[in-house]
Amino acid sequence: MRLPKTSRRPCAPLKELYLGRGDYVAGGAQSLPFLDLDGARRRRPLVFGQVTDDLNTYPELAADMFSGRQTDPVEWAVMWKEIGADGVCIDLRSDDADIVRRICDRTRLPVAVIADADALARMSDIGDSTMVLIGRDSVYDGPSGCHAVAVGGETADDISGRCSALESEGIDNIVIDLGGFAVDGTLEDRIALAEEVRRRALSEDATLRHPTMCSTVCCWDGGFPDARVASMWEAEAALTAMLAGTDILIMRGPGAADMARVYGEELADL
Amino acid sequence: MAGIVIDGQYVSPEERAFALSVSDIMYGDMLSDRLSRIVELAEGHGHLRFVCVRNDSMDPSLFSAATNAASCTGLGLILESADPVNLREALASVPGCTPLLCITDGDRVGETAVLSTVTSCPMSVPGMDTESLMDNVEAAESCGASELVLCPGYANMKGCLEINTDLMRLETEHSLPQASHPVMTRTWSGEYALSIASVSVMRHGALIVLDDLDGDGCDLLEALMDCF
Repeated sequence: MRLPKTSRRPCAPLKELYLGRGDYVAGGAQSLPFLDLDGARRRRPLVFGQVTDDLNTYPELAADMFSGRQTDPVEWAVMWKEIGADGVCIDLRSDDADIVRRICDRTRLPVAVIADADALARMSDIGDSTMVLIGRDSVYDGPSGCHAVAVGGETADDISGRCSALESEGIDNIVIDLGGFAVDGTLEDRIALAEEVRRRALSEDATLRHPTMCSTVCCWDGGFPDARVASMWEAEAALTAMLAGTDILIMRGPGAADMARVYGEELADL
Repeated sequence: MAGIVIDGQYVSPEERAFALSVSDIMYGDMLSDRLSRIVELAEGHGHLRFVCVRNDSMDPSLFSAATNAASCTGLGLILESADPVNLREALASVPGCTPLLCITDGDRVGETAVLSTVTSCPMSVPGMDTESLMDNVEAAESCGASELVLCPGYANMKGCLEINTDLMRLETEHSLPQASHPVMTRTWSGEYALSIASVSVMRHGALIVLDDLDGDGCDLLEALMDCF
């Protein structure tokens, strides 16, 4: 049977963002994710491992997987590099910018920082590595130097408006923050938002052409009996996020991060 | 994509289901323990609505015995064989049931379609790629079968993504009637099989048949099916 053609022509690539010392790139999609029939680019999402300088609210189940190195965020970040992460995301509670500097120097990986605005303002001095600055409670709108700023929102219109506002201030290094992905009642809405952002960006909505990121760390709050099960749930959440078009994944479990990387490589045909 | 009734149970991309499998090379306690375990899992997982009996032995009497044992679980039945003759024999052992006839040999679609028509049982149509799948659907329909499930052969997770997307576009954008049947995903066991199942759930799959999945995997697949 002669079948009608179902492929779609790739569009002009979306915006790319060079991270770290310029050797990692996020974004640049030109089709719906991973579809060879649409001429998808062979690029997998970047996987960032999460570290924090305050273990008080960090689940013990996950902490036990880092062989004691989780007590020092710099050592912890180095461990993420050793196990193959593409980047590190530090949840900075102490506001000590020096920790971030040392992570950049020791790992030479791209770094994302979640912190209060005051602490993020001090990151603009770090000039030899492009980071992603993520406001803890709201979009960070302080000085960003060479770094990218994360912009989130409840709807694509919301995100589009915020991206426009930042661009009008001359900030063009933007990462769209799609929030937390977990396999629960919120997942369908998260995926719908991610897919709408990607679809609109590919349809020439220039305000949404930036790379996207999401976090799957909330999967560990599900009260799982052991790390294997939690890792399975986190890996599946990451897979759904990748299929929805996310460019950067922030992950908590090393096993889950490894699975996500392998899935990404397979889907991107690497 | 339309839904279909399999052994009294409605399955569609909106009302998804999954199945775990037993092999007909199992016998005695091994078979009954395996079936008991599937029933136990089904009690806590509403989407686990089917048991699939695989004709690994290629022996019609072993297949019939395993089918008969599986019919006592109360779950819907899926019968999988490379031989339509064995499917017919197994079907005779479960009068009153209308299982899904899952033929794995693409060259014997016509014979299975005739069996499907005569017995009013739905059948799945195999195909290694979209084109051969659509050809096989056309062949089955020409033999009178109308209650069909598409069963694409996937080499991996990416294959599942590409073929399921292709099928959905053929139906929604081109109104190709051969693509309008529900899609079934056949996969193995363990975490990688679970990831293929997840891709299928996200990309229009209606029925997923796994060789095996432990309780934790069933929890996750159940949750994913609830999400979409």
